[in-house]
Amino acid sequence: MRRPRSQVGFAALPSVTLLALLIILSLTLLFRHMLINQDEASFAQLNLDYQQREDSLMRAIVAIFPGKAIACMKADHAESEEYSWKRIFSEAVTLSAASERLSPELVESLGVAASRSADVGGHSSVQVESWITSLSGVADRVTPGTAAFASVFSEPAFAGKVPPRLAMSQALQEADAVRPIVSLEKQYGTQDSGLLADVTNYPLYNLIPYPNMRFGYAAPGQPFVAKHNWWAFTVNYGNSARSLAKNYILSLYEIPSQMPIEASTFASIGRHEDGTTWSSSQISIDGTIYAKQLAVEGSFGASRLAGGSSIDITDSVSLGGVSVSNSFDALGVREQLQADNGSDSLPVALAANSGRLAFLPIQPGSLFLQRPPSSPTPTTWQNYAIGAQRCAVTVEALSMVSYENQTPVRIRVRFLSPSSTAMEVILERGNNWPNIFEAGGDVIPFQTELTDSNRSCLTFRASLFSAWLQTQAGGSTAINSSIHISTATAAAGADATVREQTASPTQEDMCVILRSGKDLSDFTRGLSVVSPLRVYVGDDLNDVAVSAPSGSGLPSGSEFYPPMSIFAAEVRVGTTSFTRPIEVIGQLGTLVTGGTSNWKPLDIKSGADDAVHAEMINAQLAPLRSPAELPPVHQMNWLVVIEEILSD
Amino acid sequence: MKSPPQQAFPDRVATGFTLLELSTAISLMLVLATALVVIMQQHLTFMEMAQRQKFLTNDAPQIGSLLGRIFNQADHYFVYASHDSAIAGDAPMLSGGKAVRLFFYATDQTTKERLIAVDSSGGTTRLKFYTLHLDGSETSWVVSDKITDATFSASEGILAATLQGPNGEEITYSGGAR
Repeated sequence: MRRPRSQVGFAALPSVTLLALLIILSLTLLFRHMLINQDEASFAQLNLDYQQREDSLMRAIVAIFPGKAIACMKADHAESEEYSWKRIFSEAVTLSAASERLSPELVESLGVAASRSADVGGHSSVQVESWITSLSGVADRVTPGTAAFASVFSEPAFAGKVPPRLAMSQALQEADAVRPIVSLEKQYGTQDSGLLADVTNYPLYNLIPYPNMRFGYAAPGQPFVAKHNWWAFTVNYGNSARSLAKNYILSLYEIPSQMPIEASTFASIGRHEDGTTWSSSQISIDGTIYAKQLAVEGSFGASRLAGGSSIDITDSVSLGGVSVSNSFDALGVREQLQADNGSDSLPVALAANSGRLAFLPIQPGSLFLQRPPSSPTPTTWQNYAIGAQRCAVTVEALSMVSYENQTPVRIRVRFLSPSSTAMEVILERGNNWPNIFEAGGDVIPFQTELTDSNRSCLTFRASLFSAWLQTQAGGSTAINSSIHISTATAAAGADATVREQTASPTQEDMCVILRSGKDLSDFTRGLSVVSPLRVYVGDDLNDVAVSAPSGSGLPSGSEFYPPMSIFAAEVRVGTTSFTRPIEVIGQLGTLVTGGTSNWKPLDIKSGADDAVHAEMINAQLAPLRSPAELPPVHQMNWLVVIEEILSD
Repeated sequence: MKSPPQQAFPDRVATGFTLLELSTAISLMLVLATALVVIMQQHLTFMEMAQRQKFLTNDAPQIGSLLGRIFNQADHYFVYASHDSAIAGDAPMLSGGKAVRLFFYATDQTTKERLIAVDSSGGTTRLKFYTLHLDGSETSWVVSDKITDATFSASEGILAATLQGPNGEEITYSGGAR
């Protein structure tokens, strides 16, 4: 019998099979490696996506927040969805496209529900918003850095990691969790570490260290005058299946204008209008020069330059010992500067280069000088941003000699009583307002005179003001420390002889002269004069030093002058054509905003409207050293920054 | 009656191979064996190539992912010539450094510092992550021991780490905001 051939088989068959199995096995191993690599790549991509989404969300919050805080102030902090935290996060989510993600239905239909999602947003803004919560996990809310939420910040995850808390009424603190509250009522209540001036005397703006950031309004750690508002919140990145929680602090630093030169417009440093350069032997600047746009021809001792959007440096300048040229922001140059200085905080910086930071001068322009009508009642925002509105004393011309002669004959003076209630006195020529040559006229702080150029003026004699207030049963100059001088409108009681104010004062308009202001020691909280008119500085101003207030953070024995500020449509030094040497000590700023105007800080004009020659000008410009040096009326900046609360 | 002739080896006739069959089988076996050897050789070559690229395909992405995550969280960094140079606070450099010092700003305005440096002690080159403590001491963990060298650079505005593998491979990862 012959056996079937199939039972015999070829010897090659098992060999081939074995070899094939080996190859398949090795290919499987290779395939597995490929899968691992893909997995690793997806992890890397996922991390990248998370970081990009986090960054864009944070940048969006920084961009949206200030406008909402202002809207809340304009509405007097009334409850509204429009500027709630919910809306802020919702708009930030939209702006950062964090809600762009496959819908759950589409994921299901694609059969990839079990796969790891590279999307780090939600499929709708509503879903994303639910991932932004207070530190306690409540959606649409934040945890404000105020006293009422102390228990949250005493938890181990946050203890010792947050800035000093502020205090205000319980109702406002609760509202602060729902919508951002920025208010003058929000003040420091306890002397926490990090507050370098006495909070009893300086509860609103204290002396705090400048935060760690590259935008050098000041050097990191350097004390500066500010209030630090802050709110904490949690963001759960990812989706409902997988998420990563991070905690953040959104900070709003309210920074009174305090640097030697500040402008929200284009500022030109180093050259006068007539082309002459500033004299380095006569001009000294200590601290930071800030402007939205800066053109610099010499530093004059300034230690830092901070620009909003651009800084042009004609020749290399030395800033605090660091040589800086126009290419300071070029790739590699900035890094070399940082390496040379051993610090990332350079003496020259642009706000536009910082993503999670916004520097906003609160600059209403010429409106700063105008009091809004009393009806409707000015908003919290107007009371905050408009210098004229912050004045405790108002002086309004109600009647003039004639329409052609704007010498006042009747003025209304409003001031505060010792209990801070409003008081009013009408001074009228021939009635209760004797002129300087009449009996009693020499004790009234308000008089009239003509300049050499024949301009009609209302003269304010600062040295007489305190005593005059006492005769009127008014409060002291500690509360009546800021004066707004203007002409009244017809609606406010002015008669037909009073010219209507114009944006730029004319030859015929009433002017203001400041006299007898050499010794301002009566003004223990300082003196501010605000006027939409031309203001002449008639005499020496604030030239008598006093002892520094206790708790001010100033070293004992420091030279201290009562803080003084003048905000006016035009300022002239002297009332005659005779030009005396001028010495400016303190800070210079402008109310001009935006545009292409070229502001030259040291272009000073005399009473005859002539430019004061460069040789006649001495300037020692320096920043504020303490809140005690802050005048009652000042300009304001907001610095908004967002930081992550790092885990241990 | 005539009986059929007796067959001496009846089975061998039935199971035998013709010369043609045997030749064909041997030829096929030779062709197959040659082909298998070639395939095996190619496969081994392929495996060897894959093994050589293991650093680029497996190790480097893991190191890069980790470094990228750390770099992006840092608020600032400085590149130094070496670990010791970074600890001593010598002058930072822009490129070619063997260590990078990372600064993390905390909300309480304190700064945390970390260090990533190449450690070539003991005949092995490692990339190590160091935590610097306030008392001057440091603790560390190994990021990777698969590298033969690494350099850091900050000359282009962002922090870049160039890793070298055991076969001379080189790959650069970047991160960290400017």
